Amino acid sequence: MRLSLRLHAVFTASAALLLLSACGGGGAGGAAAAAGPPVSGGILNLSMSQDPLCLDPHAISSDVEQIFGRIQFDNLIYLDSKGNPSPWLATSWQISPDGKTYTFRLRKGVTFSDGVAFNADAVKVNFQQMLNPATRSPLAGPYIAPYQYSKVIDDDTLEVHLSRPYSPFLNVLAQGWLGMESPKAIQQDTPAQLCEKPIGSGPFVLTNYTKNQSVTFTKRQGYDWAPSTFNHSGAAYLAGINVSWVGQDSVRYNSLASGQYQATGYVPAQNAAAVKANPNLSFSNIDRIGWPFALDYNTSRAPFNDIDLRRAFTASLNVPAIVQTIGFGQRQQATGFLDRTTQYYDPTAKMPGFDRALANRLLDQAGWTGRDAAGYRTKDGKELLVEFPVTQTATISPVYDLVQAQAKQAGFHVDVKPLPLAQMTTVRYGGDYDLSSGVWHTNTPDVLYIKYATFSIPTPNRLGQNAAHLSDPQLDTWLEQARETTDPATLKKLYGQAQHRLIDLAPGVPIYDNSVLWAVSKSVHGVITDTSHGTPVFTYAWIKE
Amino acid sequence: MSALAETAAAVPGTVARRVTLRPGRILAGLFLTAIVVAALVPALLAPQDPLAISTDGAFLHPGAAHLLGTDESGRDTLSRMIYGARPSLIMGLGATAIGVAGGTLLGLIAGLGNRITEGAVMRLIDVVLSVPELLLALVVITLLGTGVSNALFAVGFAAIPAYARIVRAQAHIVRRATYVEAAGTLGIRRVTVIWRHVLPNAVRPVLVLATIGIGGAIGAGASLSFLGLGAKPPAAEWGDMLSIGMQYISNDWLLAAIPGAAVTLTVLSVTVLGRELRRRSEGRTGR
Repeated sequence: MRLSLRLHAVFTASAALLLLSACGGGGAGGAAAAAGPPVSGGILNLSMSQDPLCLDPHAISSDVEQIFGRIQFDNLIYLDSKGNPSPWLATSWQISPDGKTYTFRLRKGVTFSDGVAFNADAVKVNFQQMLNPATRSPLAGPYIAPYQYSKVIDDDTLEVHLSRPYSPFLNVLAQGWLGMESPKAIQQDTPAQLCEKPIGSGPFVLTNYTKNQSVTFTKRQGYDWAPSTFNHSGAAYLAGINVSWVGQDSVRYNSLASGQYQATGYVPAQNAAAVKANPNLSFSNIDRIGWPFALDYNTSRAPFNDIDLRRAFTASLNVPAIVQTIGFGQRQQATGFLDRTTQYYDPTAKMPGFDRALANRLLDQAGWTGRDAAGYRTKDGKELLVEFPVTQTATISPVYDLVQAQAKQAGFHVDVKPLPLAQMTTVRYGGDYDLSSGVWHTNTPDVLYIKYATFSIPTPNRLGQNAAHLSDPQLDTWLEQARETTDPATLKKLYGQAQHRLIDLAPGVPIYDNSVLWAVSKSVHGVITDTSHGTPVFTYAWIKE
Repeated sequence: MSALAETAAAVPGTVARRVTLRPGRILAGLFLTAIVVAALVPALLAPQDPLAISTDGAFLHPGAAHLLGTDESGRDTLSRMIYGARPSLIMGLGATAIGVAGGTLLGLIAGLGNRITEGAVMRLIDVVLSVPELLLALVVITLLGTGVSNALFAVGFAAIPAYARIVRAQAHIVRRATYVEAAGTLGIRRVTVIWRHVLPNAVRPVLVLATIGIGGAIGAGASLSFLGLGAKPPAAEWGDMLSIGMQYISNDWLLAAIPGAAVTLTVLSVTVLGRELRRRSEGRTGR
C-alpha cells in the first residue's frame, strides 16, 4: 500500500512534486529545507552492478544507460510528469496528418563536449548511426525502425520521414539509449572507440573508463540545456561522478551502508528494508513503464503450443506466494501484461489466479494422465517436460526454484538449465526452450508490440523480443492501429482490447511489476527521478554533509 | 573444537604433550565419519526433504522445527547440509581418483619410457603445471560446459600434473632398484615387471599424498559450485549454498556461515588425517 501511494506520487503529481523530490533526494522535503541552498563541488561516488563493457548508448541494451544516459547525454525529448513528450533539445515539433513526417525545431547554442555544435545535421547523423548495421544497435535502432530519412531544412530544423505512422516515436526519443552523440565522433571513430569514449552534450563528460572497474565523469562547464521540466538551468553542482562496478549484491549493500558510496543504482531487494531503516540513506522503489517480470511460454512448440497446457501451468503457480518470497516486500504482483504505471494500463485485464485443481483438470483432459516414478505426468510414455534455460550467474534467482517446485505439484517437470550468456542468446533467438523469463522496460505501451506482435518474433536475422512466438492476427491489427494514432481515446480502446486479448491467449505468466530500487545518502540533495526510467538523475544533485 | 583442545592442553605433565594433538585427530575422525554416514544414507539423518520449498517459511531462525533454520525459499538448512555431503565426497574422491589415475599413467610413461618420451611428457606437464589448478579447472569447464560431472572431471584433470611428477620421480628410483633388475634378469616380461613391481612401489607415496588431495578437491569443487559452475540449483551442494547464502548475508548470516563451516571443517579433517597418514608412512620408510 505504501508502495502504491509512493508510485502514485511520483508518477501523477505535477512538476511541483518533481521540484520537491529534486530537493529531497526521493521525497524528503523537510530535510531539504534544512540543507539550505545548493553547494557546488564534490564528487559523488556511485556504485552500479554490471559493466556493459561498452558505453555507446546506441550500441548497447544494458540498463546502465538509463542512468549514464542522463549523466553524459541529452535527448531530443523528455517525458513530463504525466508521461507525455516535452521539450529538451527539440524545443517544438509538428506531426503531419498522416503521422509519417515529424518536423523538429532544435535548441540553439548547444555544443557537444568536443566543441562540435548540435544542429539538424547532428541529429540526422545520430539517427543514421542507430540504424547503421555496423553499430549492431540492439535497442536504439529497433526503437526507431520505421525511420526512413531526414531532411535538413536549416541548422535548427529537421524533417524526419517515417515509412509508416509510429506514434511511440516521440516517447522512445526520450530514452537513455537514444541520447545524442557528437556527429564528429560518430563519423571519425570506430564502433570500438565509441564504446570506450562516447562523446555527448550532457552535464558531465566521460573522462576515464577502466573496464569492469570504474568510470569517471567530470562536470561539463557551461552546460545550460537541461529539460525545462527540471525547472533549473546552468551547469551541474557536482564536480564529478565516480562510478564503480560492484557485482555482488552483499558487497554493494554493505559498501553503501558503510558510506563508501553515496549512491547505488541497484539496491538488492533483500537489503531494501535495511536501507529504508538506515537514517543516513534515502531509498526509492520506483515502478517502471513497460512489461512486467514475466515468464514467456514458447507457443511455437509442444507442450505450450496447446493453450490448455499454458492455462494449466499458469493455474499451477501461486504467484502471490512467489512475489512475497522473492520480493522482500519490494515488488507488487503484476496483474496483467503491462506494468501499472504504463499509459493505457487496463486494470480490468486481470490474470486468472492460482488454482491447482483447475491445473490438474486441464492436464487430465489433455491426456497427461500417467505418472512416472518422480511424480511427473506422462502421456504415451512421454514425460511432461518443460525446458527452462536461464542465464548462468553465480547465484540463480530463487524464482526459478519456486516455479519449478510449484509446477511439480501439478505434474510438470520444469528443467531449469543454467547456460553461459552466449549460449543463452543462441537458445533464445533459436527458439530452443519452452519457458523463458525476463522484463522489458520501455516508456510506452507499445511494449506490447515489441513483446507480442508477429513482426517481433525472433528470426536468424532479427533479434525480436516476442519470446512467446505468439502470432495472433487480431492482436497484430490492434497493436498496429495503435502505432498509427495519437488520439488518447482510440489508444485507450486499442490497448485495452489488446490487454484483454493477451489474458485470453495466455502467452505467459506476469509475476511482478518491474521496479527500480536505488538509494542515495541523505547528504546528497537534489536528485531527480527520471520520468522515462524511474532511475536517479544527478544533473542538479549536490552534496552537503 | 578449540575449547576441547584447550581442555586437553590443561592436562598436566608429559601425558598432555602426547595428547595435545590427539583430540584434533579424534574430532577430525568423528566429523569425517559423520560426513561419510550422511553421504551414504542422507535420508536416514535428514529431518526433511532438502528440496521442499515453503513460500511462507523463508529465513526462519534455528528452532525446534528447523534446527539450522531455513533458506531463502523456505527449505530446511540442516536437511540440505546433510544431502550436500554426498556431492562433496563424490567430488573429493572422484576428482582425486582421476588425478591419481591420470598422473600415474603419465608418470609411468615418463619414468619408464625413453628420453624422448620422457622429455615430451614432462615438458607438457610443466606447461600444464604453470597454470594454477583452479584456473586449469575453469579452462576445462569452459571447454566442456558446466555441471557436476564436468566439474569433477575438471578438478581431477587439474590435479594430474602434480601426481604425474611424483610418480615419475618414484618410477625413476624404483626402476633402478635391485629387485626390479633381478626380475629383469630372471626374464620376466617388462609389462609384468611394471605391473607387479614398479607400479605398487611407485604409487604408494602418491596414495598418501592423495588423501590430503581429497580435501583440496572438495574445496575446489565447492569453489566451482560457488561460482555457479558446478552443481545445479536447487540441488543441495555446499558451495552453491554458500554462494546463495552470501547474497543474503545481511538478512541471515547463518545461511553463508553453515555451508562455509562445513566445507572448512571437512577439508581440515581430511588434511589432519592425511598428514597423520603421511607422517606415519614417512616414519616407516625412514627406518
